[in-house]
Amino acid sequence: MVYKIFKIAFAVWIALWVMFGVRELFIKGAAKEYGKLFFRSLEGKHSYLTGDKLYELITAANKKMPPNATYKLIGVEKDSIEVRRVAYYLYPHFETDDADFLIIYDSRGDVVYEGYDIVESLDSARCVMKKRGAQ
Amino acid sequence: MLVIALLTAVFAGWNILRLVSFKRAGALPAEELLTAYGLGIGAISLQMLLFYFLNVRYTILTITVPWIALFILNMRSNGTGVRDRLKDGENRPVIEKLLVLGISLEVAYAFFRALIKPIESYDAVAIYAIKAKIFYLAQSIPSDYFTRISALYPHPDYPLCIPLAETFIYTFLGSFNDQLVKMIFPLFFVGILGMLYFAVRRFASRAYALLFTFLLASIPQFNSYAANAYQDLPLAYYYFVSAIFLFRWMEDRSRSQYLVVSAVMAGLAGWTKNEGMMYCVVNTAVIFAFALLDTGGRSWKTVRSLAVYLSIIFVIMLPWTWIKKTSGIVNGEIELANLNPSNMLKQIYKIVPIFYEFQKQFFGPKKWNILFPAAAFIMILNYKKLFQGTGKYIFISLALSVAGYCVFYMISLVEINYFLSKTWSRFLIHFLPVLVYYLATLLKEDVKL
Repeated sequence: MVYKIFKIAFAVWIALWVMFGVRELFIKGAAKEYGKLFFRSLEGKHSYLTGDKLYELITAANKKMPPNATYKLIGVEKDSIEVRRVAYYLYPHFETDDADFLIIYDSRGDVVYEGYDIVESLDSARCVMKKRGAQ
Repeated sequence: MLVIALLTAVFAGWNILRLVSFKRAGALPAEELLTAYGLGIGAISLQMLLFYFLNVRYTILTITVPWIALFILNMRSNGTGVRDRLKDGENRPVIEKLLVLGISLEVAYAFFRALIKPIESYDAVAIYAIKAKIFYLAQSIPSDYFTRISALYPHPDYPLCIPLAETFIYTFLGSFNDQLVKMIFPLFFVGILGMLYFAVRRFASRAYALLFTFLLASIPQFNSYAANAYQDLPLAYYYFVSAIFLFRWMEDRSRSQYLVVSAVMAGLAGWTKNEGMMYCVVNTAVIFAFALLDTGGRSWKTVRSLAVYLSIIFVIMLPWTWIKKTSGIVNGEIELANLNPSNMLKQIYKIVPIFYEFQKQFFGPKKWNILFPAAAFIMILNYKKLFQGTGKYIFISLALSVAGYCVFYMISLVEINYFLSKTWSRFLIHFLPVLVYYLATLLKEDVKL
């Protein structure tokens, strides 16, 4: 009897295995995502996963920042995965409050960042600012 | 270079196994290989931690030389032994081929999923990969890492086994490639599946062993954690291998090599994740139960074994514990001082959300298929066998694992519902291979394959 029950349970297992496999690949879009990632370079994959717009901004900031410069990221939700990824990509630059550079992802038109000048502007919302007098 | 790095890890692990004359215990060559991989990864990361004290930089040479020296030392020793033989069973070619196909699909998918993306999931980036990048760029653990840098990123108290293993791969690659480095994770997946197969194969046919290997491989949550660069699967590997060898030593105490390797693997579980320390306690409690139940508490040999077991764990954990203590690094989520009766009584309300979340996982086919309801059903049906032979120690081990996590939640400082939603489904992975192995032992007389 145990063997019969086991066979039925195994059949249910296989059915669920196939169903959830298909669901993940085709309904939840994993296959589509793999297709998008497959031909991208490592850099391209970082960009896709981080969001092309944010990654473009980080790359621009990284080029502008000299070694040991610090940064502050503005316009990204605190403790979000984006903040973590930016910290990861920008290391050995550290994030501090009184930073040498401001990396502004989502600028609010009315906010003025005193003591900083724009050194790279990607569009109306995204720019990199440098503290006056910073190296 | 990636292949050379991985072979170096296996070489390091194999040398340690040879040092403890593992072959004499009768382990199969494939088991030796699967054990050597995880052991090598753990041992090299420990070696890299020791380099911090010795102020040695990470290069291919500095990492490899000690293992070559050990190899030369080992050449003197006699590494002979009689390998165990697997049982002959009825051949079921069609079933076996289908099961091998299913396992191969899952393994191939795990590798594909791991290698299609660089490291990107939250904890993998925020806690582990960032540390690996810091160590790789400095070619060492920077002297101010524990006193300054670690505090700038989440969870400085988490052990460094996997970040240092990632640094080891980068060092061999000679570049910071956070896509190729993920290769280490599906290999842990293969390690668990292989160890499960051979553990079951020791008492059952090939088809039966393949069946349970397939069941484990096809659990969606288990497979997805083989690819996301989290530490849960490596921890599951270390706990599983330590448990399997512990049970094997209980069956034949003359094979003390199994006990030694079990202790090393338990220590490496603690070096992989803080939860791994709980498994050190679980295994120690299981040996203690064994001393009481099977030797009547009279066997000095078992007491001595317990002392050896604890000493090995202590030695493995000492450098990391020392660093944490001297640098004032503490866990911000779990407060061990809360582990007292009056506080536990105050936290009793947490039992309700803990069990609510548990039942969500229990009946959640999206992540676990029907494993947990099936396991409960099998245990009820085989209640007479639950405590027979070594089975009772597997049961104790599983029960203590669940109880241990409940205690974690009770003494945790994090809001309980948030903590549960983020962790229960991962904690279950840690003892999943042991559970599947237990089910295989319970059903061996009922399911004839």
